[in-house]
Amino acid sequence: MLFNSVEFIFLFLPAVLGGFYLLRRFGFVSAAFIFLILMSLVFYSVWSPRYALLLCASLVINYFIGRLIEKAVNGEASYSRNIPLVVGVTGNLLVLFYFKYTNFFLDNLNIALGTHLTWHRVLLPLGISFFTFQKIAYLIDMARGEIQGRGFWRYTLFVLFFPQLIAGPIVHFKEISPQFDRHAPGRFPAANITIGLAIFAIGLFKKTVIADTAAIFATPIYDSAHHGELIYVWQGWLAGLVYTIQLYFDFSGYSDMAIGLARMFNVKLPLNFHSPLKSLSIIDYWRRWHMTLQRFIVSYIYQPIAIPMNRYAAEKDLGRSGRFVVATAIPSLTSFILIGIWHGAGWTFAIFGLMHGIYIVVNEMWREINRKRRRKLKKETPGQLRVAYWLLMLFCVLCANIMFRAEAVTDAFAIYRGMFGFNGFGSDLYGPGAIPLGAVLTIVIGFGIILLFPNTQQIMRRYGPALDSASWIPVSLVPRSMSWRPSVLWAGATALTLYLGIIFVMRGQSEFIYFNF
Amino acid sequence: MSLVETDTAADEQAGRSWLTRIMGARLFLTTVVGFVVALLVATIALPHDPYIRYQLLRNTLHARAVWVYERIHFDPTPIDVVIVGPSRSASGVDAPMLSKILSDRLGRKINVVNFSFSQRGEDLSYAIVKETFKAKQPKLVIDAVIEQQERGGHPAFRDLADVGDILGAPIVFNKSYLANLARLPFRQLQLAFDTAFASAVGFSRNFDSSAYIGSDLPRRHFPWREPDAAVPRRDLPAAYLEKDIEAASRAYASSLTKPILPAFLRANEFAVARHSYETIRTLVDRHGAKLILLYQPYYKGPAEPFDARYYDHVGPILNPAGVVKDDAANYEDVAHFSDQGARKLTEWLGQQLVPYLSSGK
Repeated sequence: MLFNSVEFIFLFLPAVLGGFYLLRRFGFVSAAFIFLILMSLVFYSVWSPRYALLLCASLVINYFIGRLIEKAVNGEASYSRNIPLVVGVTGNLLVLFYFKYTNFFLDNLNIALGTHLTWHRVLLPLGISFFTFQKIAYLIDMARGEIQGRGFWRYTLFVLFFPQLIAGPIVHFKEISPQFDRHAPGRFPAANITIGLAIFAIGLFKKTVIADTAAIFATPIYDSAHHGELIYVWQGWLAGLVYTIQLYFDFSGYSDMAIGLARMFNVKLPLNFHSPLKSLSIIDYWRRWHMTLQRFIVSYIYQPIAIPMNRYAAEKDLGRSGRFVVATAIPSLTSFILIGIWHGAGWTFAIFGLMHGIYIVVNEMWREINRKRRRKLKKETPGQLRVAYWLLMLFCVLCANIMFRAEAVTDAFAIYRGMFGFNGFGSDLYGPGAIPLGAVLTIVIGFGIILLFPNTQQIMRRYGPALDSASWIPVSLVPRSMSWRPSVLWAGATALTLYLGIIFVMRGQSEFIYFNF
Repeated sequence: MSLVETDTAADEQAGRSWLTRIMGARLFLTTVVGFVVALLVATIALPHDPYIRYQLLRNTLHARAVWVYERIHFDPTPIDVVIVGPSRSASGVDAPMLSKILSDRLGRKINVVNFSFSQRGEDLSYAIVKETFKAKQPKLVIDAVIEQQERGGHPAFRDLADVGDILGAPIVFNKSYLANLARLPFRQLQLAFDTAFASAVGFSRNFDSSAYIGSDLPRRHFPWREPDAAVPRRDLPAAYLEKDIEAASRAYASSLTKPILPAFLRANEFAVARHSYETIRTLVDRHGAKLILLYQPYYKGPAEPFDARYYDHVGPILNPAGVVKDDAANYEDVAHFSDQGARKLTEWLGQQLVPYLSSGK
C-alpha cells in the first residue's frame, strides 16, 4: 500500500489509529501492539500476500538466530557467537542476492562466458533491501553485545512497524525497542497525532506536488534517450536538474511521511535527510542524504574495512599517500560501490556508486591537501567560494543522478553528450519545440524551496520531530526560519499543505522511487 | 492537552494575536480537518469552461469528446437524432448514411449524430444526452444497449460529467463512486487552472471553425478501440476470421457474469446503469423528445438483452439481432461491426425510425 494513496489516507490510517487508540483506551495494551503488527502485515500484504509469508519466515528465523547469538554472548552456550552470526548474515545476504541479483548475475555471466543459463524472472519483494539490512544490523548489534533481546513481539513490531517497513528509515533495534515499552506508544494521542500529521502533510506535499510534477518533465527525456533519440543541451541539463528535484523530494517526502506516521503512535524514527542539496561538498552531501543507510554502511562496512587497513598502513609505514590510498580511498570506493549495488541490480547503479566513491576520494584528498592552509586561514570560506563549492557539488550530484535514473549506461552517456553540447541546443525559445515552461518553473520552485526554506525538522524543531534531530536542526538553518506551532496560522498552513498533498494524489498515484530497491 | 513543549510560559501567550495563539491539540486537529474540508468543498465549486473539460480527452481513446462538444455548442446545424452508447454503436451506426436514409424517406433534412464512446457505462450516455440538450433540441434519442447492463460506470464519466452528476450518482453498489469523488477536487482545480491559463497550457477557449472537422462524421472517423487491441482484424482471411470470431464469441459468452443478486435486488446490482436510464428518460421527457433503445448484439450473441423486460418502462427497444448477429461478415471482431454489418444495421435502423420521426407519432 502506498502512503500517497486515497485508500491509505482515508481508510487504512484512520482505521489503524482508531483501532490502536481504542484498544489502548480500554486497557488492552498488548492487544493494541498485536493489532499494530497485524495491520502492518495487512499493509504489506496488499502488495503481495505471498511475500508477506516470506517476510514472516525471515522474521522468525532471524529472531531465533538472534536468540542463539544472545545465548553465546551471555555465556549460556558452548558455541562461539560468530557461528550463528555468520549463518544469519550469510542467510540474509543469500536471500537478498537471490531475489535482487540472480537475474542480473546470470545475464552478465551469459554475456561474459557466452553461455545460455536461464532462470525465471524473480519478482523483487517490496522493501527487501531495507528489512534485510535492518535484520543484519540486529544480528551484528546482538553479537557485539550492544543490544539484548526483548521478547518476540517487541522484535516483531520492530521489524514490521508499517511506517518504516518498506523504504526505511533503516532503524536499529536499540533506538526503537525502548520506544515499544508497554506504555510508551500511544501516549498523548492528540498531541502526537497533531505533530505526526503536520510532518506527514509536509512529506505528502513533497511527494505528490513537487516530485510527481518533476517526474512529468524528467521521464520523457530519459525515455527519449532510451529510444535512441538525440538529446540536446537543454534536455540534458533538464534531465539532471529535474530528476535531482524528483529524487530528493520523492525520497525525503517518503521519509517525512514515515517519520510523521510513526510519530502518530508516539514513536520517533531517525532522520533520513537534512537538506543535502544545501551542502558545499560531496562529503557533507552524503552525511545528509539517506542518513540511515550511511550510518549502516559506515558501521558495518566502511569501518570494518578502514580500521584494519589503517592499522596495516601504519605497520607497513606506507607514507602519507600510501596511507591515504589504503585507509581512505579503498574503503570509500568499496563502500560506495556497495551502496550503488544495494540500490539495484544494474551497471547504472554500480557506476553511480563508483562515481560517488571517486567524488568522495577526490574530496578527501582536497581536504587533506588543504588541511594546513585552512588551519592557517582560520576563517569562514568566502561567499564566492561557497557558491563555487555548491555549484561543483550540484554538478557532481546531477551527473551521478543521471546515471542512477537512466535505464542503461548508454542512455546516461547519451544524456551527457547532450548536456555538453555535442548535439546542439536543438530548440527554439518559443513554439512547439521550446523548453517546457512547467519544467523551468519546477526547477525554480524546487531549488527555491531547497535553498530558501527550512527543512521539515527545522520547521517542526520545537517538538523534537525525529530521534537525532536536535543536533542537526542548527545545521543550514535559514535566517528568520519559520517554526511550526499549534496556532490558527499554522493550522491554516498545515491544512493547505495537506490539502494540496491530497488533491495531487488524485492526479494519479506513483510509486516512490525507493520502493524499487 | 496543549502541545507546548519548549515555550510553556503563559506570558509568552500574552500579547499574541488570535492567529498565533497556541491552542490545544484537539482543537488544532479539528481546525486542520475543518480547513481541509472547506478547501476541498471550495475547490469542487471552482468554475471552469466546459469546453476545456472536453478538450482534456483529446489525446485519448475518447478524443471524439472535443468534436462532440463542438458539434453541440458551436455548430449551428440542428441535431434531430442523437445516438449514444458504447463502441458497438460507434461501429454499428453510420450517422451520415442514416441521415440520408431518413431525409430521403421523410422528404426533409434529418440531422443525425452518433455520439457513442468507446468503453461501456450508461452514466456517460446520460452526461452526453444532458450536454446535447443544453444547446440542441433533438427529437429522438437512441440509446444503444448490449446483452447485459454494466455493473459500474464509464471510465470517462468522471472526466466529462458535471459536478452535480458525479456527486449525485448512486453510492451503494457503485464501485466507481468513491474514486470519482476522490478525483473531483483535482479535476476541478486543474480545469480552473487550465481555463485561466488556457493558451499557455495548450487549450483553447474559443472555437476555431477552420479546425472544425464537420457536422457529419462517418463512423470510421474516430477509432472505437485501441489500435493494438489483440482481436481478429478485417484484413485477415475470411475463413480464418470466421473461425476466430466463433472462438472469440464462445469465450466472450463464457466471460459474461450473469446477474448475481436475486431479481428484487437487480436494481442495486446494476445501480449505475439503471439510475442513468431513469435520468435519461426524465431528461428526454422534459424536453419533449422520444427515447428509443437499440440492441447491439455481439456475434451469435443472445436474441435479446438478458434483462429485456426492464427496458419496457424505459422506452421501446429496437432489436436488429435477426439482421446482423449470425453472419461473421457483419463483424470485424466479436462485437464491433464491419462495414457490411454497419451498412445492414444502418439501413435497417433507417426503416425502423421513420415512424418515430413522422409527425403525429
